[in-house]
Amino acid sequence: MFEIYQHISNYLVYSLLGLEKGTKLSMALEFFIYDTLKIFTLLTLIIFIISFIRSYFPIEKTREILSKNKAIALPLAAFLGVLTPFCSCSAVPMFIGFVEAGIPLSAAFTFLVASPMVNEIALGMLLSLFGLKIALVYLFFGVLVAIFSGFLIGKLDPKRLIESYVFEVKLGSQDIKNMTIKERIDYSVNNVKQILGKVWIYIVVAIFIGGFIHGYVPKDLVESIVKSGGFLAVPLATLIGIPLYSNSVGVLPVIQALISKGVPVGSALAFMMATTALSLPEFIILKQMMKPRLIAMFAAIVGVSIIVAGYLINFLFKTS
Amino acid sequence: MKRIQIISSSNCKNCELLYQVVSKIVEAKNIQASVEKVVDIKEVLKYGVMTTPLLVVDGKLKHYGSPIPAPQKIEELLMED
Repeated sequence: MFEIYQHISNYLVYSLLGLEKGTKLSMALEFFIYDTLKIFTLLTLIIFIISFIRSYFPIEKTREILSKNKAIALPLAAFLGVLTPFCSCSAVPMFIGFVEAGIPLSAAFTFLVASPMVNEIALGMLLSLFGLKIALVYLFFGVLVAIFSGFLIGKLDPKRLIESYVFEVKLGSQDIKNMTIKERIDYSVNNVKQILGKVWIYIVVAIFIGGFIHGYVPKDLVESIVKSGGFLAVPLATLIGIPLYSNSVGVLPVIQALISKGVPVGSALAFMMATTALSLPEFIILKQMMKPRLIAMFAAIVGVSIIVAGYLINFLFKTS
Repeated sequence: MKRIQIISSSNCKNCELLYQVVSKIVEAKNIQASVEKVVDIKEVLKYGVMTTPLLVVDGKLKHYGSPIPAPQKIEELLMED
């Protein structure tokens, strides 16, 4: 499928630039051009498909389904969170909308974790760099982390730490808009454009660095670093990921290169979960309706769940 | 003179983007309108939606949520009554 890209990169490196075959530089450059073309093609396709699916699950519909199935709201919120489009800037109105519809707070928190964590850009990067198996592992553990975190926060009586206006305001009425197929396609194309517009530069730089690691960094070196401090890799990856914004999944090509040199995959997935589910800008947004203590609890619970998930994934991949 | 509002619950990237695109269109097409940014959660909820940013023209909700529409579509939304 990507043979044409191999030809293009061969042509650019050897015919147009006239580099010698077999040198480290020409191989690295060839790899860089090929990988960039391949990753962007796959990303475009995957983000488009996932956006299209997500266009069938607007937040208004999810709210309606959850409010009608309160008994199973917790797992349902995680499942629907995966399918519902989410922007952290909408976290507050979404949360209020859920509360107003009588959805349990635990389920609202579960949604708040699942929806940004399993998103189109994260899945797009995972599928194009690591393949279906790793993407499914991420999806499964993402849902698990979301359910567990929501459940635990629900047990800690979060209501006392949420501003009282959240429980008082009334949502105006708005019909769920029914999109035509053409509108869904437009929506998905726009989403691809806006997401890639934000992250393309990170991805290109990351592929470049990844190419450098592939070509120049010896495997022994990475393995010895992992051996000496490997146990801390998961919490470290999570802690680094927490303050970063979800655009940071663009750095994934670097991580992929490290994995090919011996870094365990659980650390990479923990990093991704942390960047997407938790971020400083989101904490600032949540401060509009939550006491800092609740935000700290939220971050700690989700963070620890992610670390546990990271270790579990490492364990699974070691034994299999 | 039209009154265009871009409403959001926080200052986010998509809201800023919509504000800039709308301002550009208004200027380029010489539309007689005022463009203002409103950051107020209560305004968002008044329109009964849970996703931002909102594009409101003369009190009528024209668009909500991200991704924001293509510039051409936004122009249509601004022009229609």
